[in-house]
Amino acid sequence: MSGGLTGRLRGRVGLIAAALLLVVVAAMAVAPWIFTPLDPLATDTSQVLQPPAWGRPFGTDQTGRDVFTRVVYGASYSLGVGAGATAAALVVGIIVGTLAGLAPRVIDSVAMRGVEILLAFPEFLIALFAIAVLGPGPVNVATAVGVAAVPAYIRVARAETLVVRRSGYVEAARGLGVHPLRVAVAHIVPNTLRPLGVIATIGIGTTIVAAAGLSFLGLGPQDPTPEWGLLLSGGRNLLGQAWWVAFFPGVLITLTVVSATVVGRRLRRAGEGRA
Amino acid sequence: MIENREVVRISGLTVRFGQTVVVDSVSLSVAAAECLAIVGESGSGKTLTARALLGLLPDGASVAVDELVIDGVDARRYSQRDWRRIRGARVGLVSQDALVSLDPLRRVGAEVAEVIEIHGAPGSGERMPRAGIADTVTGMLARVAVPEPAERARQYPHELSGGLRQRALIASALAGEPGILIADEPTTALDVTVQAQVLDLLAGLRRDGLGIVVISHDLAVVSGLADRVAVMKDGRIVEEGVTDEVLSRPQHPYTQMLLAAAPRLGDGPFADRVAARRRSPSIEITPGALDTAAGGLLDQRESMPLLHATGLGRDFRRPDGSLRSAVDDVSLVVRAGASIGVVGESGSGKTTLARLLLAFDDPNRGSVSLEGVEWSGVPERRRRSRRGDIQLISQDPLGSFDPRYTVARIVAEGLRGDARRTSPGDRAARIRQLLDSVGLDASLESRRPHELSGGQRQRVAIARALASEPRILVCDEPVSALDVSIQATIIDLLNALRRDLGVALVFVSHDLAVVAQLCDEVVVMKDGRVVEGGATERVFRHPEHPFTRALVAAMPRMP
Repeated sequence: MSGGLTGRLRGRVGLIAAALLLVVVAAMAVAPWIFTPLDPLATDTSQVLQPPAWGRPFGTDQTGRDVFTRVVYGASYSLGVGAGATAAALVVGIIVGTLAGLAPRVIDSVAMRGVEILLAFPEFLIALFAIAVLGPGPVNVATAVGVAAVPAYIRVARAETLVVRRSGYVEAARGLGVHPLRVAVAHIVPNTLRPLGVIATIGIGTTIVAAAGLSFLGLGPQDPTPEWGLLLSGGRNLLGQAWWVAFFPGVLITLTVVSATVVGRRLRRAGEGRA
Repeated sequence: MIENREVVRISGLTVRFGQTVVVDSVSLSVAAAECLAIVGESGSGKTLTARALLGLLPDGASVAVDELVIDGVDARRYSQRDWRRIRGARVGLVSQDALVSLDPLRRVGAEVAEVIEIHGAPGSGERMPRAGIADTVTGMLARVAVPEPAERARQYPHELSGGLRQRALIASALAGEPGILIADEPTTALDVTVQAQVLDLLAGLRRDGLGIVVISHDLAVVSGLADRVAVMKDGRIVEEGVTDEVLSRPQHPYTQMLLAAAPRLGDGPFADRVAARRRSPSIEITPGALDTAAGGLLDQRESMPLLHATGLGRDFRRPDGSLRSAVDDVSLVVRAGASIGVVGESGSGKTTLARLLLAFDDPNRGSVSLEGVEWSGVPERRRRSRRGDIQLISQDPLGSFDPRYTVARIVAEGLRGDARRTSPGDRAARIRQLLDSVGLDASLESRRPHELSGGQRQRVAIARALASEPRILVCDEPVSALDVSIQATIIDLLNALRRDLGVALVFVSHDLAVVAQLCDEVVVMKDGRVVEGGATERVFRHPEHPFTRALVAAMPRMP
């Protein structure tokens, strides 16, 4: 009994830490100036590759820019791309998935086979392909990552639609003579949202990694923009002499993604308990 | 009686969850070859009491007991390990749903064999050689009257019918030769004819010397089996005594209420009571509940049929591709204000018929017309505006509500087609009026479905159905999931709707007694066909078809 209690507490501590970190990262994205007085683009040739110290906790890079400041300012790019791409993928996924779930079987089958083909490729590969078509750039990265995430949302939205569609309350609405379009809007879509919202929370993490990955390969924003993937990439050749330039952005990417996953999974478990 | 040795004695059993007392100083005892029934409604603590006899209380329950003797052994300080030793060997458990209790991936024989492997040979308790176990298993299955026991032992639970599954479960409970059997709602999931067989089996086991504790919500079911009855309410035994005494001269008001509420078939003095209820139900509904139409409706009675089904047939494809007729050549006429019961066992096609009448499904053969206009086989577009005229009350009201909606919003959905009330104020007033007419307080308006009790949910479902001013209510097992006392109030409500508003009822149920209380006419279905139909009184008193006779005979009855 006591073991179970501390176990539960430990689970709670992890959850609280994860949620807190997400709040801090979100705050960095919205108002980076509270965290640092410095300019992320300001170079200082007298302070090149300085190790972490008081006043510059993450050290400086090869042009003397403060790594902490750059990481803080980078949050808005990474989180923006993550949240934006996920939201876009969610909206498209819901629309297509719901329509597929309600469409006649032939149309549904054709649409789902298409989705399955997309799912057969790794998401990152699809994102790369999209970038190859669209060309590099921050907006295109978001689009590419969003496109790559869509098939999974379509699948879940369709599956949820099929469940809700057979539910007693949809039949009851039908029995009252409610128009099918209204049934879809008033009953089906709202009741599929909760599980979709949960997987989207987990999805934000994946999206951030994918976006950072594309930036790392130089397909996203270009230097000197302080984007996490780009910071990581800029520091990778310096790992031998100045580990901090790549290490801190890497840690923050990892922590953010893990936190999003922890919170998302927790939400999912809460959602399952609802039954 | 072989002997009168006491096999279970428990006194002062109190079970708490945190501060809540769920079982309150319960004492009971059972002798060999005796059957004690614990009867109560949901939440009465009857199941927890039974589980305490097996050391199977859920986590978080704190137990205090003065005396707990099982088969002559003091079990008060038993650890889980001690309990495991006696479960199956001294106390056997049979639960409600054999499909859930039996491992779907294991053959039925293996289920019974496991008990013998753990507890040794029946009687001696010695370890058995493998070859001997198979024979013993077959013997156990034969003992519970499973036909072709050797073949059945090699089958999986899903390959057996509900009744055979329940027998197999009883066989596994008996394999360790326990002196006492705990049966928790052992027949609730079964059809009446099968229920009667399982009850017979239990009675036979009791005669052979087994002590039985049977838990049930249904006094009628246990009345034929139990020597003594303990009635539980809110964790206490409010009345206990010899079955006949309790049923014929109930002392406690709660027992009296339970007995009065229990629906039964119309024979003996009860027929008068049923008749009396129908003449003066406890509910009055002002015609305002269906404000405009009602007066005119009542005049039209007996005239044109509201709903006319002719030669309905609906086929479904089996997994192997062959066709099965769920409904075959069924014709039905529902006139205004009529009440027609559709009875039958599970799989008889009752629900499929209801769905055809509601045009939730289209027939393969035959047709349905509503108010003289084609109703089946027309595009949904043309049905939509008429759907308000025929409404469904389902067995599972909770499932029929959008979980995010409040009661007011649920009822409001039924008002969508109401062209006379377009302003929000008018609609709110109408919602209040509807809730009032089904006996619900306006304060429930802002609740969500999961915050309501079972009876309240069913009332909300009825209020929603009434919102569109229907002329026919199709009720599919509307009270089967409810406690008897709640059941009675819902039946009263439906009766009042019919009498005061002239709403016709098509009432689908497996429970003949409920149908007898509510319906003037009844049709009996078997394998998708109507085997008998006519005035309720005539069909139930003088059934002609052998199946109807079997059905009526199998109904549990109070002495």
